[in-house]
Parts: sequence; C-alpha cells; structure tokens
Amino acid sequence: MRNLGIIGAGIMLAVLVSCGSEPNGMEDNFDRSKILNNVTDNIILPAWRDLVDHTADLQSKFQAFEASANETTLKALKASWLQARLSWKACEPFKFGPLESRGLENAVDLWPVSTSGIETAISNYNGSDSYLTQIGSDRKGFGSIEYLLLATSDAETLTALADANRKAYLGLLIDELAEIAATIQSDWTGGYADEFRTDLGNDAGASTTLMANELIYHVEVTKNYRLETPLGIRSGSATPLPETLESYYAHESKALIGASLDITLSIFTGDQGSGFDDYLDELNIDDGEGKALSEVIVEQIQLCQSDLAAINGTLAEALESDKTAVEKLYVDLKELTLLIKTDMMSQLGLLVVFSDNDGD
Amino acid sequence: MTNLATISNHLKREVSNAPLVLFRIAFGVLMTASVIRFMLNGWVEEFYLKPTFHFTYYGFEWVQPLPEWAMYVLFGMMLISSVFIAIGAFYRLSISFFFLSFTYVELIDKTYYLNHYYFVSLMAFILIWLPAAGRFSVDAMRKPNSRINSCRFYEIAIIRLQVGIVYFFAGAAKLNADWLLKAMPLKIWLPANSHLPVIGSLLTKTWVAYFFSWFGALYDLTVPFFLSMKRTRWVAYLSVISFHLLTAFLFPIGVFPYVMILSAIIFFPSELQEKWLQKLENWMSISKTFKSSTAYSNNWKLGVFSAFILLQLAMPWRYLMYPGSLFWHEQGYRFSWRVMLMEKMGQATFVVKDGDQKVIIDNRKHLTPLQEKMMATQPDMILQYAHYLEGVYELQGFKNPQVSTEAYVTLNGRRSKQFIDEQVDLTEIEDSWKHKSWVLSYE
Repeated sequence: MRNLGIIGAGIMLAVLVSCGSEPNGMEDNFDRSKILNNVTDNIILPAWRDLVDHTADLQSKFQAFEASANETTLKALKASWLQARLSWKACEPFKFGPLESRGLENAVDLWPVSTSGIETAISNYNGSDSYLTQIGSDRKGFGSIEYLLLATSDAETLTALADANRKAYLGLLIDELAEIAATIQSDWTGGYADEFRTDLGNDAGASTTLMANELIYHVEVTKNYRLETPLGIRSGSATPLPETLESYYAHESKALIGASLDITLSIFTGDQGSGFDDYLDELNIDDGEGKALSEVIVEQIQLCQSDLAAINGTLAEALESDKTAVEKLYVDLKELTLLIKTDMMSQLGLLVVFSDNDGD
Repeated sequence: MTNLATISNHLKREVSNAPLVLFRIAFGVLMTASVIRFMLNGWVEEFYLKPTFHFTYYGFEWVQPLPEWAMYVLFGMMLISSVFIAIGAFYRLSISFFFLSFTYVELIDKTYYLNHYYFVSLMAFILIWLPAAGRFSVDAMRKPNSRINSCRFYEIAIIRLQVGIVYFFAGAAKLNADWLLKAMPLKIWLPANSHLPVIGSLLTKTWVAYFFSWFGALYDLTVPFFLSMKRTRWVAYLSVISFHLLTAFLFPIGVFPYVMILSAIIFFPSELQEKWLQKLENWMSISKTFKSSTAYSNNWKLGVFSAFILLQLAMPWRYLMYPGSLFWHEQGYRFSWRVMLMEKMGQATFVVKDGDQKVIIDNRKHLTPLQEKMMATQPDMILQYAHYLEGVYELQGFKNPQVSTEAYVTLNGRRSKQFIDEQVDLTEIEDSWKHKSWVLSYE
C-alpha cells in the first residue's frame, strides 16, 4: 500500500504540473447555474410575459370585434390570434413546472381540433362563465379559435359569428388563454423561477434535466406530429394528410414551425448568454471528426430553418406540390433529434429517465 | 502429485468459521435493507408489474413475472429470508430460498441487470454450502449440538477469491484506450457533478478525470492483493471504505458500494475475526461449547467450488470469441464485472411492414422509459423487441410482418453512428451465441 501511495502521489503530481497552466475560470461553463439563470431571465420569463401581452391584446381585439363586428375588426382579431399563437411557441418548451403541475399542458394548443366537438360545445353552451372546465382540450385553445375565425371566408365567418352562442364561446376561449397565460406567468415570477434556477443537480427531476428533456420532446413533436403525421409517414398512408397540419385553416403551419425552431436554437445556445453549447464546448470532447458537437447542433438547427424557408407556398400546398422540400426538412429534423437526444444528452451526464434504476 | 496433495491439505485445513459467520450477518443485514429499499422505491411495480413485455435472458425465456399479489408475497418472503439469514434462523432453508427468489427476480428482465445483483446471486449460491450459521445464530441456540466453530479453509477462500475476481476483472476491463488515454467516460460523468459541495469544482478539471481513471484502474487491479497481504491489509481496507463511499457520493449506484465494503472484510484472517466474534459472544453471553470438528469428506464440495471459480475466471474472457468492439456490440459484456465503464446512449426507431402496409412504432406504447433506454444500445434486446413487435402486429392482422430498425448509438462522446443494419428483417433472425453480424461495425 505504501508503494501504491507513492505511485498515486507521483501521478497526481505529474498531472498537476502538466495541467497547472490551465487558466482559471475556464471551467466556469460547467456551472449549470449560469445556464439556468440566463435561460430563466432572458428566455423563459420574457416568453411568458410576451404571451400575457399577446393574449391580452387578443382579448382587446375581441372586445372591439364584439362592439362592432365587421371585416376590419375581424382582420385585427385574426392578426392578433396569429401573434399570440406564435408567442405561445416560445413558451411551449417550458411546459414543466407551473403549467404541468396545474395540468394545463394540453389546454393551450392541442391539434388537430375536433370540429364536431366544437360545434357541439357551442350549441350546448349554457351561458355559464365556467363552461370551459367541462370542455376537452381538442375543443379549445389556439386551434379552436383558429377554426372559429379562419375556417371559412371572412364574410361567412362574420355571418356565423353573428350567432350569440358562437361568439360567446369564442370569447370564452380567448379569455381562458389569457387567464392561463397570466396564471402561469405569475407562478413563474412568484417563486417557481427561483426554485428552478437553484435546483442545480443532475438527477431526473433537476432543472437542467427538465429543460433538456423538454428540448428533446419539443424537437420530437415537430418531427413526429407536425411533419411525419401530415406527410402520412407515421400511419403508413400513401397520400399526405393535410388535415392533420398544425394550422390547417390559417395555413400558418410554416410560421409556427419556424417559431419553434427559433426557440430551440435559443435554448440550446442561450442566445447571448450561457447555454448547453457552452457546457459542451467546455467538455471539449474529441468526437473523432474534428468538429465541436455544439457547432454541429447549431448548424443542424440552421439547416432546418433554411429547409423550412425553402418550402414553397403553404405547408398544405407543399405536401401536394413540393413534397421533397417537406421531406428534406423532415429528414434534417430527424438528424437534429438524434443529435440532441443521444449525442448532447450523453455528454451532459444527466439522468434522463425518471424511474432510473441504479447504475453500476 | 505431492504438490497437489499439499495444496489440497492446505485448502482443507481446519480454521475458525468466524469470517463466515460475520460475512453471513453482514450479507443478511445488507439484503434486508436492500429488499426494503427496492420495495419502498416502488420498483416491484415499476420494474416487474407495469411493463407489458419483459426482456428475458437467453435460455431463460420461460421465466415470467408472477401476478401482482404473488410478486409482493415473494418479495415479502425474500425480506423474511434476508432477516433469517442475518440472525441465522433455519439457515440452509433461508439462504436457499433467498438465492432462488432473488435470482428468479433478476432473470425476469435484463433491463435491470446490474453487476452487483449478479454478485449477490453468486454469493447467495456459495453461502448455501457454507457452515455460516454454525454459531452466533438462532439455529445454534435451538440445536446446541449442532454448534460448530470451525470450517475448512477453502470455504473462506472461495469468498475471498470471488471478491478478488470482481475487483481484478473490473480493473482489467478499465485497461482500454478510452478509459486510460481519453479519461472517458469519467470526463463526462465527473463534471456532471459540479454542483456538489466542496469537491464540485474539482470534478470539472480534466486532470481529475484522468487521475480518477488511472487510480481507479490501478486500485481495482491491485486491491485484492493488498487486502491479502498482512502488511498492507488495514490500509487497503481503509482505502476500500473511502473509495466506495466516494463512488456512492458521486454516482447513483445503489447498494453496490456497501456490498463491496462489507464483503472485503472477508480478507481479514480467521484468527483475528475469531477474536472479534468471541468478544461479541462474550458480550452477549453466548455459550461457547462447540462440537468437535466434522470429519466428513469435503472432496465433492472442493470440486464444485473449484469448478465454480474456474467458470468465474473464464466468463469475462468470452468476448474474445467475437470480432469487433466489445463496447459496441456487447457480446460477452454481461457477467464480466464491467462496472461503470462506458457512456452509451441510443435511439432506435422500429418500422413494421407487411406488403404495402408500413407502421412506425412509438416505443413508449410498448416499453417503459427505462426499458427503451436500455434496449436502444443493446443488440440482443433490440432483437427481442423486434420479435415482440412481430407478435403484436400478427395479432393485429398483419400476415407476415417484417421488422427493421433505424438505430443510432453514441459511445463515450463520439458522434452517434448507425448501430443496426436497417435492411435486415429482424424477425428472420433468432438470437444465439453466434456473432451478430447485423450489428454494424464500429470502426
């Protein structure tokens, strides 16, 4: 054992000397609190604030529409709906915490919606303010508002919304979104944000793990349900299924996917501050191909963004006439999923599985 | 021939059985705690009742979980048998039951394979044949004329050898380029613990990863020898305690560190342990009248134990029969003391085809997250899952389902690579000990 001690001390000394020149502070990027603080302050909290603002705007546009229903107020309402739904895309990866614990993950934006369900809900409307509590998620939220505002021409929509029940139901849907946004934002600012940024562990429930898992889930949803399903790949359909598109009536699916790719990039890089990319760079693992993993991931997200920009027309049109361009995006998203889900996660050293067994 | 006889006599010489008795108590206490912990964590339900499909071991496909009530009864009985082992009650029956029930549970699903579970099974098996409850036990109180204070040296030696084998092969497995030259996977695992107090910031240093890698390899390879030598024994044992406590602090490895800390006590000489046990016996005023040693023939037992150890020495080498990278294809990886050795993660997307029909499988519908995670990096599990999917889709009316997988795996920080030949219809392949040529090459 004395010999072993000498050998050990020798190695330690040798390594100490050889690495002594490493500048201090370099390793600060392993500090997960830097990532969490940056993402919380500069990405998550502003995203919820934005959603609150946009859903409030949606409410005021609806009031104007209620006061005087015409093409101008309808157009303003539609435009506000799009802005609000786009701002939701920046919140979507932050479903963990308040939104999840309140069981509201699906209430905001589930698609495709059930049109027959919405019609039934409208005709059964009893005037109660709490009517929506008994209504399923595929009959409310952004997708249902889209159906009510954009499924038909403006003239037809105006006629349909002359129906008091229909208009009242639309108002309820909008109010609910605004209320959810306000509640979740105040949950975050009122304590959860601090809880989130101080849970620095690497276990299954820790903040970094939650965020990384949600990032993966987010990319997978885009790949699986926003592209794979409409392309018909998921169900083995020979023809595309445009009716399963995220924004079937408003033809804004491309914009929504674009917003999701933007927030994916933001979370990964932390925008101006610390993100997962800095952690990976600090690990400095030789991937055998001479390129930093963080660089590869950023390039892959950018590739998806340019794939998306290269799709001609709306996504529904492209499914018919420019399918290869959609498939290119799909294939590149598959690669992105792989990079984030395996390569990134493997290097972050997080315990991904909640019910993790002991390792050995 | 004389040499062999000398060795045989040396092995069969009579020594104090105190090491066996103390080992038995430690084993029983640890297993009691371990079974309670397993149940409190809700793992009985989560691991064995919730999944609809289990990854059985090759040759043990007939091992299936019991119904819920029976599973809990089994665990309850396993708990009682652990307590009985600790207190030495109905010892032979208790340890036999424990061995069978524990091993049965392990055989249900290889998702949960852990080297230390395997170690526990082996130890329980060995303990069945040892006079470890001859004293300081309920049995000895019940039947005074069965009391015995001696055993044959080989009955202690087999435990020492088994513990030594665990360390030595765990160390030998670390002698690979990734571990020694790239400090992988510790270079990933240690910084992940940077949030820990005191040592956290140290763990982010590259040199620390190298130091841990080299020290860990050297430690595992040498500690059984240092434990065996009188001059170094105490220092070695203190290092066992600190080394395993450190790993317990850093990694989620359950009871493994405590299993090894307690098992290593077996290396202390019989005479010393006899003194410890006598102190205990005096303190508890337990009678120290023992029957004289047995003169039974030990040859069969010595033979069985020798065969056991030879098998143990051979098992870790079976990977040599397969071409390619062991870490990649994992043929011959289990049952070889390859502990905390690699960072491997993967994802596998399965496609079931039948004529024009084609379905992409959502693994979450069939497997638990843990099962999916383990399956995605282990070829034999991928194959089992493919066969399971074949059955599922046959029931759904597919005439001749073909199952293929697009699987990617990252190993020790390298960029992920395609793992399985996606052209291969996995339903056409039966698992065997033959080389799995449908696993793509790593290089």
